Amino acid sequence: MASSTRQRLPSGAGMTWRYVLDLLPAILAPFFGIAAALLIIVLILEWQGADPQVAWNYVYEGTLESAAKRADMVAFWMPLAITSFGLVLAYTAGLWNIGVEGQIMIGAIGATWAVRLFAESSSPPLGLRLGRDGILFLCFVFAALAGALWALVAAVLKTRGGVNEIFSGVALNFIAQTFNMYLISNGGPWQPPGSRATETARFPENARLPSFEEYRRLSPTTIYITIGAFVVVALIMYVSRWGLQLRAQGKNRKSAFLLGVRTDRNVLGAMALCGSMAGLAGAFRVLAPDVTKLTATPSGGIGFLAILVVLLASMSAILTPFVSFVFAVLSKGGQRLESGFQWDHDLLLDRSLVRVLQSTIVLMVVLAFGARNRFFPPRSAQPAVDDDDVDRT
Amino acid sequence: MTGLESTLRGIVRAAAPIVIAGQGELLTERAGVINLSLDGTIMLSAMTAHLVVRETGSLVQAVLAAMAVGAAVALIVVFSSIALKLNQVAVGFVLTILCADLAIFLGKPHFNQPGKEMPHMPIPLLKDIPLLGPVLFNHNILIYFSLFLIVLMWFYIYRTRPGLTLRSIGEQPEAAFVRGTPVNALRYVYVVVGGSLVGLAGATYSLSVKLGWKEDLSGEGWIALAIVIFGLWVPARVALGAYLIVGLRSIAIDLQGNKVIDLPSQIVNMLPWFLMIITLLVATSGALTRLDRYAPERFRPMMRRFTRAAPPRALGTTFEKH
Repeated sequence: MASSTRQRLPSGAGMTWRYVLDLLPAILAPFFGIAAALLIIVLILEWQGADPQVAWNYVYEGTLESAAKRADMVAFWMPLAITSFGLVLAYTAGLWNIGVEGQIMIGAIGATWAVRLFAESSSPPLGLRLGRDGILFLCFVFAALAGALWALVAAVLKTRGGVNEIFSGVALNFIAQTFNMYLISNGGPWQPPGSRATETARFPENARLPSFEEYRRLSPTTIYITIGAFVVVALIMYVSRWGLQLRAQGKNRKSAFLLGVRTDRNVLGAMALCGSMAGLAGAFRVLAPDVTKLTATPSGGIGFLAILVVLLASMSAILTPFVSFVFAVLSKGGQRLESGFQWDHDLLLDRSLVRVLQSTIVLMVVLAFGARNRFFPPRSAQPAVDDDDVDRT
Repeated sequence: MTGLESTLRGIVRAAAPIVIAGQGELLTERAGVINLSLDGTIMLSAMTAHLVVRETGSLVQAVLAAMAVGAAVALIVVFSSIALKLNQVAVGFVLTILCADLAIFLGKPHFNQPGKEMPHMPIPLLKDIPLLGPVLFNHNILIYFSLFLIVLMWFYIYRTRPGLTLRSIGEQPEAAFVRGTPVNALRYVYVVVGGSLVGLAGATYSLSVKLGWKEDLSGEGWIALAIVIFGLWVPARVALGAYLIVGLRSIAIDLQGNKVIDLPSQIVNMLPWFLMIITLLVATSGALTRLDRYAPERFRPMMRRFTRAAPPRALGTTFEKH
């Protein structure tokens, strides 16, 4: 019984110390990862001839300094956050929902369709003449359903056709984007007659989200819906049995199936929920008080950004709001960074630099966690050898 | 040159980067590793080749630099998989986004600037063969390489001893290890070589097929990844998939100019993606194997060999020696 001597529990202070020693690499790993990513970005900035301190000042100035800027940042944060919440479900179930970008776009198209049907048309279906609240409600329903359906295409292709969701997702993204362009460009059916801009007309007054009195670009509705989505996802992940099933099949789909989890049905459910939240994000984007039209890029890349958020938060529902907040600050700050350096320093520094920073952070943190598991394995991962001993005695 | 000849020649040319990237990914996956970073790697290496050729004027250096970029990205993938035991899909996906954004950021000052093209090198004598000559032997060296690579890969994988070892580390790494094969060391080699081929594919874009740097390469890498599955990890079939997709794409573009069938250009742009889904569905749903039943008895073994859908068994797993 070699294992029993080895596993003798140290008492009192010894145990606390061991516990801290175990925890330390776990705390330090993301720290080192982020530090490495920041170092890389600082080096790039220096190489481009930009002062990192000035760069950070621009990011801060563009997002957090004044209440108005903070409101703008929150308006960007909400669709990113709700998409990330949906992705937590999909990624927990082991589904690489790269199609989330397309689901956002289709959600945006769905919301626009609802506006066209119920607010712009002179004869709405079923003779429904709705007020603003009714129209907006239908916009969100349409967006969620459209996003869910688009996600279900990938899910059914996976469960029925064995097509990996990564590839169907990529293809569906391109199809969604092209479909959007078809609607609004070159005399497409949704482009206002005579217009050459690739966008729809602005939505009528009764299809615009209410906004805060002093911050015209931020709508409280998006905040409420996002909080609601967070509660749903947190309940699923931390309370419900379904969340446990998703975790199980994310770890090992075959074992979960053999233990009685209906894996195929859960794939459909997780993807549909994820798609509906992405669809709502699409609705946020087109209905936002300062947009109120379907543009050529309704998603603006927040789908891929949300995937990075979820990877960085390692699929934790609790961490996701914070990580998406940081990424929203960086993304919004990137715009100010680009314009600031261009106007004040006459330096061409493309805003894609912040996206480089975001993906570098994720890469470095992922690598740091890998290094930690390799060189400082957590105690729970160690006793594989001991178990063997126990079996034999 | 007749219309058919020039169409086919255009397909061979336009498909060359996808063929090269597909063969590179094939080599990687045959060794048991998925390199999902193709889309970003192709963009970054294409941008690198364009940048180097503008700075130095040397095409050789541009090609080598692009290959080095591809190899470096692949090295991160294989290192994180073998040494750090990380999920290959996760790392590959983050890298694809990182590389694409890095390409856009670093390439901004060189966006839409004139580049330099690979010199046209028709092969004497061979180029005069009817049909085959203009289609296959009237290109630049990168396009020739894409054709040569298909044969080379087939020969290497199926007709040489190292090729057999390569298949064994992708199918049965434990068995290969017991027989004394350094599984992980070989995986490093094949993934890095495969990655450098992906880099070469990027160079083929910016030095030949889509001259210069225009940020419009997004999607090509995903097509290359998909045709490896469609091609069921067999070099010739992977190449066939590339020619099929590019061929249909060029037919679609021809249709667009044709006023008889008036398709909106967006529908045409969707076609390759529908095609990608359908081809994957055909390759992975087992529909092909079911066709077997309707074939005459004599041809069944042959058909089975052609339609057998079997990814390398150890694909995406890490190998640990016990």
